[in-house]
Amino acid sequence: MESDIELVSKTLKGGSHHYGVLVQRYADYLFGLGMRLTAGNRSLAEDISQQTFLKSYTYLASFDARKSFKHWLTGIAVNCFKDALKQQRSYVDIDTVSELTHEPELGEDSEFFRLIRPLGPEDRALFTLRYVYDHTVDEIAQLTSLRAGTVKSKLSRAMEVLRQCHA
Amino acid sequence: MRFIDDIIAQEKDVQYQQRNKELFSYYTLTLIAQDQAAKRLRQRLKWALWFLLPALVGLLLSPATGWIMTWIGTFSGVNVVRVILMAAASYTVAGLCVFGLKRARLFS
Repeated sequence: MESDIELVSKTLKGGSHHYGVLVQRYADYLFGLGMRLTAGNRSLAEDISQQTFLKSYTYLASFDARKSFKHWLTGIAVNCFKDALKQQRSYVDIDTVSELTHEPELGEDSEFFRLIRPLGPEDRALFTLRYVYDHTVDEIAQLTSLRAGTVKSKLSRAMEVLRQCHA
Repeated sequence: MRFIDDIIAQEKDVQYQQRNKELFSYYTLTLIAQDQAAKRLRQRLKWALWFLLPALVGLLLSPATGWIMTWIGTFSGVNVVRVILMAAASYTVAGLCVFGLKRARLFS
């Protein structure tokens, strides 16, 4: 099996068909990340994963081969999630944005989604990255372009909200 | 806290899957190809415009040359002192008008 780095360099040398392998490899991972960031919004999760692949292909030349491709994709996915929120803000009233105006479909309203639903979208993303994907605070700060101190305080506030909501 | 930890631990084991991964990757690659083709087209158009620019300038310049010469000819006969005097007179009249309007508003 070819490594991510090999596939990236092959893609950069000759065409998108090598990139197809990477799409297949990370489609489920990005979809899962999208589902968790959006608290179970399947169509938005699909959009986010697709946008992530499109953006990553566009900026593939800027990928640093010393770093993990998966980590790089995660950063792009988080940015795509932020963009999706901004787009929603321009259509929907700002007070209703945190709910992401989403009606869960049958079988996609898991306990975890119900747990994180009281959180705002940004706190939800930070919480998911920290506790489900076990990223460190510094990694999250790098992924979300926030300061480590801000991430820490937002995470503790999110945890407090969850404790109060699910007490 | 125990309750939250349990849910998180449970969630870590969940594997999410795209509804149709083959179709998804095919569609994504098609979008990428489309995006790349659009970029290449824009690049080619930019180069084509760049190459056409001298010809376009030449084409526009030939009728414009006559107009430019007429314009320059008109200005060559202008007396600079008269222009400055006219400008000074215009600004004085405009200033008086503004002053008059302000006074009229003050006493109305």
